Amino acid sequence: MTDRGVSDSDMPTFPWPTRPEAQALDALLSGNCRPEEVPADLRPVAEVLVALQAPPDRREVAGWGQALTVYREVAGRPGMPGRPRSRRPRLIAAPLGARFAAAAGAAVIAVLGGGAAAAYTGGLPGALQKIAHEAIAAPGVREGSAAPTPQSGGHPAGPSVAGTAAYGLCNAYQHAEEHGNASQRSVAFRNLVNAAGGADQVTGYCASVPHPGATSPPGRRVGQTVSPTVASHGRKPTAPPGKPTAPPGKPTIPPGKPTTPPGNKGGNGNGNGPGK
Amino acid sequence: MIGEDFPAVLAAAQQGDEAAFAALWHDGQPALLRYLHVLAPDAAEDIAAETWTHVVRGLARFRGTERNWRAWLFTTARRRVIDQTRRLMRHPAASLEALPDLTLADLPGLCSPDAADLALENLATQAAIGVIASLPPMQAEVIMLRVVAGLDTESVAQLLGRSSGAIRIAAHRGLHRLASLLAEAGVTR
Repeated sequence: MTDRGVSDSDMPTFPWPTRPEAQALDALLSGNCRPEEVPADLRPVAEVLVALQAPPDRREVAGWGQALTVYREVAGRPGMPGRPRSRRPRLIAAPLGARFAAAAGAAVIAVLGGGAAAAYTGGLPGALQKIAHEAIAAPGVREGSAAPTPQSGGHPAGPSVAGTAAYGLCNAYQHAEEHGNASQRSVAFRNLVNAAGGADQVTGYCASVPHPGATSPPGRRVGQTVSPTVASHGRKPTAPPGKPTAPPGKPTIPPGKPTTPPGNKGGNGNGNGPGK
Repeated sequence: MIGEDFPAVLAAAQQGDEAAFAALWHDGQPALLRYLHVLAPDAAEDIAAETWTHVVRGLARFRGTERNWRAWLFTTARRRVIDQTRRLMRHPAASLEALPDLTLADLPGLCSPDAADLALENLATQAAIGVIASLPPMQAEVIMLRVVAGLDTESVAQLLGRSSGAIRIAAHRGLHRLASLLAEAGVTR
């Protein structure tokens, strides 16, 4: 009566969803959700799903060096045309991270409203706080392991605006300076000023931005030649911390809703900078 | 997801462009690790590395869309998980063609729901992975493939060798069970 893998033991207690509820569940699974589409009793679920899609943690990209080594070995062999070209994964990788952050931020806001934006920003939201400390005696966070580790390099919990997003901003600014038109330069600079906290802070800010991920980044620096494959990113370069770009088809984001942790120096979170 | 740039990024990566490969890797790796931490928490990093090794070796021959790419990435990872479990169970290696008949839920010890080894700085993500891992294995896997891998129902169905209807039911049940867990924990909104 059910396909394999669907336990029949679930059957007696499973409440068959009504059509609207099934649609809400599908929307949650697809990431296409407006707040009004999420019944109140599913909002904690939505919160968990958003947390599952939070921007990458630096520990999750710690294996990059190993992967690159394998790639270089394989790329040097017959079967993969061309020798490895050591272009820096600047404007590809960084805006991807920023997009990821923006998409996650958009999802938080779309699903939960701006007040829940902190769900993925490191301030443990209510649902997950409870999960961590009460519900998951079985599955989850061991006592002790849930404690923040402030000694671990000084990275803030949650999406690091001082990391990937900041890196993307600096790259976008750099790219706009080199290849963009006046409008693009203006936008990129304004975003960067917002993040840096002032026009006079930009240079120092970008100099201090670490590479967002690789433990041993292959020498990425802001200001290197841009790969032709990434040129398109320069035309739509940034997802500034305070103004994530909603993907096509996603609900639009109300302006002024922060998606970055309050108090994170990487962005003021409201997208309103000094203007120029 | 990489989006409209995916064909160009893939083509460049297939030509040896490290920046392009970096884009593919950084886009896929976090989701891959989260998925693996639900399936095989004790070996997630190792299996992810094996997955990428396999993918890199086949990269030049890959043809398809971004959806195909992600499906391939997660299928590869899943096969590595099953291979590892078979090794652990000291079973003779079976052909990969038999995979669709194998359910992760059938593999004892595979899905010990211990995501605590995933010491993420983002505690919300860590807790979320932990609570998903506490769901029945198929429900947990379907939710991770739908939400984290970003695969649609049809792709997940193909990947798991099930019908689309079964995948949808498993996902809905998983979310219901998740809601119950959260309600039991006193989480309300």
